[in-house]
Amino acid sequence: MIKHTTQNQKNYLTRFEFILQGIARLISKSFPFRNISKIMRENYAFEKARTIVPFFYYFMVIVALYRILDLSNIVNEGQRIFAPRWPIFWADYLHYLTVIDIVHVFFILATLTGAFFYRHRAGRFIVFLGILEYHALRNSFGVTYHNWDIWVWIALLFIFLPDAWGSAHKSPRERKRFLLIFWGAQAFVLLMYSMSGMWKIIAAVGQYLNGEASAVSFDAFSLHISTQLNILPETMTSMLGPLIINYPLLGWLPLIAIIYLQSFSFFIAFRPSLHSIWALGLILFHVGAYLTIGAEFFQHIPFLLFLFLDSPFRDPRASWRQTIADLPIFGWILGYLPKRNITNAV
Amino acid sequence: MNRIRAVSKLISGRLGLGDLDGFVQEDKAYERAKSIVPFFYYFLLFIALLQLLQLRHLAEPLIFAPRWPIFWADYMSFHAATTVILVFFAFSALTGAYFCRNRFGRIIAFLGFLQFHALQASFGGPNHQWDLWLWVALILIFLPDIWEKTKQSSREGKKFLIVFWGAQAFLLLTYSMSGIGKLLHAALQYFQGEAHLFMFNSAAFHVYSWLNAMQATSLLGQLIMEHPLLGWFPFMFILYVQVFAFLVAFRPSLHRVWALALVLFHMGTYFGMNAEFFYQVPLLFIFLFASPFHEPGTSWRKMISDLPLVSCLLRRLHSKHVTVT
Amino acid sequence: MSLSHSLLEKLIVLFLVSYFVVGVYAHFYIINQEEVYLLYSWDLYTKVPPRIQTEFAILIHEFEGKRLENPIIFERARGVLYSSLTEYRHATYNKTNIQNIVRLLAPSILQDKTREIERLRMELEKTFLSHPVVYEVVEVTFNPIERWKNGRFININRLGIFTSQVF
Repeated sequence: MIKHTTQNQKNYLTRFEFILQGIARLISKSFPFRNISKIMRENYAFEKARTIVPFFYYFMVIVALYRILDLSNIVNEGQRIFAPRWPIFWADYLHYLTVIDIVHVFFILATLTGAFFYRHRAGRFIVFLGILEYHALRNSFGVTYHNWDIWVWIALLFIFLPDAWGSAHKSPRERKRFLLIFWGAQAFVLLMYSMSGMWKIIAAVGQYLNGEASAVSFDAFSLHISTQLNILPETMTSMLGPLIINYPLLGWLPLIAIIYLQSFSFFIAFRPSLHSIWALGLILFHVGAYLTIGAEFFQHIPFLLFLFLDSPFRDPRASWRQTIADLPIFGWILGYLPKRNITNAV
Repeated sequence: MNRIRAVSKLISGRLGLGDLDGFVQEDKAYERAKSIVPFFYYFLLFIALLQLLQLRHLAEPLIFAPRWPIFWADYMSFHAATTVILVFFAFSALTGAYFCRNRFGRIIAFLGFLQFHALQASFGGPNHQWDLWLWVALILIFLPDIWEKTKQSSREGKKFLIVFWGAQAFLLLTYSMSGIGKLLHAALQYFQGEAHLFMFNSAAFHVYSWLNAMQATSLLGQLIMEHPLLGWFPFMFILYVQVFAFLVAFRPSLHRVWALALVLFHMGTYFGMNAEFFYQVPLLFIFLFASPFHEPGTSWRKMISDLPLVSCLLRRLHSKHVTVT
Repeated sequence: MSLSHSLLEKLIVLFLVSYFVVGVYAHFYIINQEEVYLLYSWDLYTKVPPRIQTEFAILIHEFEGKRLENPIIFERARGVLYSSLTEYRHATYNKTNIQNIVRLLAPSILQDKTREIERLRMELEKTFLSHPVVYEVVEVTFNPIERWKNGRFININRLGIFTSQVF
């Protein structure tokens, strides 16, 4: 049966397509990663990414070794409650202490295998399994530790890297695929931060409209810190918390900066010139969060260092002007200013 | 001068030290080393940030005798001094991570670590856990700042690699010193008619006396004490790995294997004796596992022929064979 | 695996979008006390705490037969209840937060659920109050900044006073 579209339907579709195209153009203008293909063709980006990836696997060995030191704590924790997550479904059939031994030994062996055989997909897959099993064990005591999620997901993503270490010269196609997966890992890390920032913005709008204290209130950070410190045991001190509680204005701008930093993180995946600065900002955020409210998410820091500090996509010839022009909001404003003013502004 | 040259030629000939000049001149090795060095500073930053966790649980120690790098700590409270040191360590490590390509950044990172190291050693006794990091941070200061150059001269590249190799060699030297110390003590004890390293139950003795002194238990301690031979073979293997570690600095084909062996050694001392020295492991990965001098795809024949003692044996066999033919 | 470049691009985008969508969905699931393993919404410290807060707390009135001049809230009573920092750390390490128990105990007192009160009291005293103490379950209203600075509450609603039986 042949479907005939009426003239109205055609007009409707054309308008809809026009709107879609407009949105797509807006998005591509906002997220111009026009140079990614060009960057991916360049050998230096590929070589850099190829050097960075093994260090993830070396780092996992160190993590696995240090997890052994935590063994007695895990043994104690499991005495209270042990509800195995799905990756360690087999734990239901074994004694608890045996499960701990198996998971830890497998974690170490898997990471050692990865350190030696990261060049092969099988090696990277084994590391992922080791991390997954350990992560599942660690999250089987009634509480979820999201600090470790990033390890599992990055290990999973890296499985899909092409085995591109064998010879010095790789085809442009293979280099491009390698860099695409690497970029995917970067984008994923930044996505997590953006999700966190997004909720903060939504909550800020909601609370502001309800007449409550919100993220734009001058005492917002003080409220956060004092609420947290009130419930922590008094032995847990906060280095910067008391300062901000006593002088709330000191915390206002950092909180706004944190929301800006987090919310636009995913955008930075498309702005290689900002990779290292954004990583610095996020590292300082983690340090600040720890020194104020005691929130410890240091497990993310190695990824910020390895993936962003010396990002393969960052053009070494990029000027500071380009970096400023790439800043979310500030760069957009500068972009709309007449050229004469831009020269004066920067 | 001629005599010195002759002696050095004799030593290098006897020990079969590899062609250092040869592998240091490789462009590829230079590019690799350039990419690896920043990871030392990234790891250092991560360590510095983890030390900040101490700030929430600071308790007044029984003894606090500041070492000379933190002489100024005498003029303030322990809490204040520790906070200053740990925060400075974190920011200096951050500077190092961002500016490791400049000597200035590397100096700042070293100074921060020196303060931290001195703090760790100020509680009544030395703390050698971080010694290697400190010395390597000092050695890396002497790297030439040639990252930004698109084309560096072969002289500059060679200088870079020599300093990098220096860090590798130092790392391995410390293990050799430990191994040779064990050998010397073994000889002394043997001649004094005491229990010594080469006895079949030497590992069991070690494990027992250490665990007893520390009033601790270990995962494999009981097993080793009940079956001493189980510990003896790994013990001899560790001795071999340690004693000849410095030689491996000149045998790039063995860098990765030796790094693995040393990592296993550290694991073994923890599982056997509850002695934890995991701080060295990142250095083994950065400088040996990822060694820029190690050619990927090195054949196992080459590795075996480069093994200390084995290489001497093979050379003797080869020279006999040549003589006969 | 030899995927074409454009297919790989689409798969990566699909992965990122899926994680985002499921993460957002997980935000709403958490309200029902369920969390999807490995998938998270990352809504951490999202809402600014209100300027006036109400919660349940434990006030310590007596310790070892000695009446305290001013009742102390449990979180600030370390110096009273434990003779040393080490003892405190040993006693509280790996223990669930006291709030988890108090949040259940207080409503049980309000609803006069005797069995539940006995059970939760036993858990509370075994875990945190295994000393000869007289304690009170209260509902406190406070400004968090003032509470942290001065220990002051705007209002204290007394729910029940008890003597610890587990020590």
